[in-house]
Amino acid sequence: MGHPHHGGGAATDHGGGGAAAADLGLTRFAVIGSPNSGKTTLFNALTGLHAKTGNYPGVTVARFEGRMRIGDRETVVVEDLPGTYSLDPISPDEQIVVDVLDTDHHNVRVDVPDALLVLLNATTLRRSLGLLAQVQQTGLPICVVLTFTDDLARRNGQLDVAAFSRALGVPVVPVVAGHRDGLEVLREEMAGYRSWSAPVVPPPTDPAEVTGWAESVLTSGGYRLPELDRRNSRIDSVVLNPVLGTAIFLLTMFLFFQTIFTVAAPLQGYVEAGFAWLGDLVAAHIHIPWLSAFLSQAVVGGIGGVLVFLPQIVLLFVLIAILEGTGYLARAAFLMDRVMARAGLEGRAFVALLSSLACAIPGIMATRSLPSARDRLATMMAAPLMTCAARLPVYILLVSILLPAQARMGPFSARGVVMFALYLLGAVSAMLVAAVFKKFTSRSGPQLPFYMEMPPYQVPRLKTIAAEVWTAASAFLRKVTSIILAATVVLWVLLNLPLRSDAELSAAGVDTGDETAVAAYVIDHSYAASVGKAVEPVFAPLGFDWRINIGILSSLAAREVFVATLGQVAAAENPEEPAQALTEMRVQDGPNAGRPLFDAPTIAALLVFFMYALQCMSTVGVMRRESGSWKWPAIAFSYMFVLAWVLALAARTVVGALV
Amino acid sequence: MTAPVIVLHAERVADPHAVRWVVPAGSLPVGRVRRAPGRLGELFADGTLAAGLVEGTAVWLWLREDLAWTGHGTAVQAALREALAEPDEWSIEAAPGEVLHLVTSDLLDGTVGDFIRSHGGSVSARRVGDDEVVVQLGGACEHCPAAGHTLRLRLMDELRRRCPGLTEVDRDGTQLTLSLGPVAT
Repeated sequence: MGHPHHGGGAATDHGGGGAAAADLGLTRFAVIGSPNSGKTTLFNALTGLHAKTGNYPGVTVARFEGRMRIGDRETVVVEDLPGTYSLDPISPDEQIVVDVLDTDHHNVRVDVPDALLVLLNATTLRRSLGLLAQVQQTGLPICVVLTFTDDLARRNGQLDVAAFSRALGVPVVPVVAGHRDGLEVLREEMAGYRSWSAPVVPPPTDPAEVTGWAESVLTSGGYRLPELDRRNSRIDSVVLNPVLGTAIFLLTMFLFFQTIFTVAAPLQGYVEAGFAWLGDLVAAHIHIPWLSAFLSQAVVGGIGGVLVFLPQIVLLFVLIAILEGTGYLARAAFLMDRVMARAGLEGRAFVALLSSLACAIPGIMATRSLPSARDRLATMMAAPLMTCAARLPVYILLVSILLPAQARMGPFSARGVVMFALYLLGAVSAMLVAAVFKKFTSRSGPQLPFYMEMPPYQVPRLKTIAAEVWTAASAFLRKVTSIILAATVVLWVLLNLPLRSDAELSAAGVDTGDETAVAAYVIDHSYAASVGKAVEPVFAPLGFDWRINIGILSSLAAREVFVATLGQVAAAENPEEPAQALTEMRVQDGPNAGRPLFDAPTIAALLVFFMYALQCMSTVGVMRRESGSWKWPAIAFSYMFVLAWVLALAARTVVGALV
Repeated sequence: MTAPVIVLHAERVADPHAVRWVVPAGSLPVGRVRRAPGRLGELFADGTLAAGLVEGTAVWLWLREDLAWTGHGTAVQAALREALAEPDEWSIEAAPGEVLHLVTSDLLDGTVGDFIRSHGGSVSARRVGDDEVVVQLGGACEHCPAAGHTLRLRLMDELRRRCPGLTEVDRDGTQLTLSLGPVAT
């Protein structure tokens, strides 16, 4: 999860080609290094977070580019290449590095950089030198950026940078994350890239010879391996213990969801109060009936209903960023590698699934690091089952109707416990689905090596957390103001058409003076209602009525639209207290007429339905791009719908029997 | 059986015709290369390589003056790698004065010299007789009480590593006379 993701499910920008055209003629530096060499940190420090995200043309590997100034105000382009351990690609994103470095320009889709910054992690030099030896064959100017020298010194390792640089034949600049001095030196060094020294004889290419070369270079540099980090090893002996570690992992996740509920609740209250105030403002100042209705129902009721969950989304990403920043998330991935192996998948797949906690899109894109095509597909099919941030508003809304805020399970908030269970169930389902897909699609293939570096435990950097949270929150806001707003407006129109004349209303026995009654009548007999009622046979066994059906249909655009739709319907029925209106909604007809619509069995069915259904067009789109055909998204959509429907019915039946 | 890993890398030196091939200490006897095995021997024979000298931690090879390392480096590297796998097939004659002068000059061209020059001093090394090398400090160093100390501290440690058998014949303020003891061939 190196780069901050576009959380909340925003689709990616495909403008790789456009970016290249604008940067024509500028000097290009490419940053190369293994995963966890501090590449992204350096890239962000150099370009100041003004990175453009796009895709490499023709493939779906994300491309990160930024600009910076060096020397006499020369603007240069810095490109952050995907992390790789060698130039013998085993996965699509490693292939990109090879293509970019192809100086013969066999691959005209990508620009060859003018100079390279090769990152070497000072604590794992021996392995990193193999990559450097390969990169040096390109003949491009190279400057080595030595990272984690602070870590090396702390763990009693040693390296004579001047001697090391002489042995490599290229400039070496140590840069410690969070310290400006190294960056300044690097900036100056970059300005003189045309006169960077090159090795008098390039390193060998044969792997055995490269080993001898690396050994010789390290001896000349007086390299002393860092000791095992005692503090890290002590923590790891507990955290990575199969039994204790798993318990700690589950406890951490449990507290995670407790925090999201208990801390965010008051903040959510403020946002709600803000929208109530906006609603009053609309009612007081806008006297055009349709506009007032539009603003109070579609904007305040619909969009406001989704925006209420901003505190939870922000908190979710703050917590994820903290877990990642402390180095715990990498341990969790390592721990889960064992579990994943049971499912026939490897640790890399867990990283992809973990990314899906934010949003399935970065999760699906993260499958690019999987060398095996079968593993990629199995993981891709499973990723949308992980509980993404878009499900959060739906879950919170439904759980809040189901359980009062003061409900407790032991010392914990009952709402938090249910949320944890939902996340856990989502994750377990994802693993099971991955295992099933893997079983059906694979004959036994070779298990490819999986490197995962354990970053040292540390206090997370505030700036990094802020950046990740900002990316996620702004993506959520963008989504709310684009796809969710559009879907909400369309729904508002469908919910309020056809227009009814007063005569028609009177004939139906509606008091034309009672605005709420009129609104309720119009909605109950709208186009949307007709659609909702048309699909009733499909969803009636789950206890859904036409209002929920519209919500479900509209949530195909994005899951949060479900909340917006219910918000609209509720705002029409009870403009003062839309939240109250939801709990008071009654079944309108049939044998259960008059019973609460949102009773426990229906809520259980809805929660389970949302857990399994693929209600996200962005995910479907990304899946098509990543798998290269409509076949896999079609399979995913169908299997998930069937799973959602069957399990929702099961949940309804079980909960109905219990209550 | 897998071939032994040959630990080797190339370093640039002040002389553009030479490359200093760093090898583990004790790989070969110190001295002038008279004959080398295999392809390296052929490169000497056909005149591609003009000369070779072995110091404590490196093999120095000189290309013929009209050739460049860019074109020949990779071939020489491969040949040297093979030759290093057969240390007994080399013929190397003792050349203590030559080796000592080469290594001392190399250090004075590099980090040690840089340090002295950064303090406003100057330094040079010359051969005296067959076996001795005199290192002379000048410039700002002439009146510096720490000059002798600097020479010993900065120069001698590295020199000892690269020239086994180094002895200090005489020390007189800013002048240091060095010699290499008899080296077993």
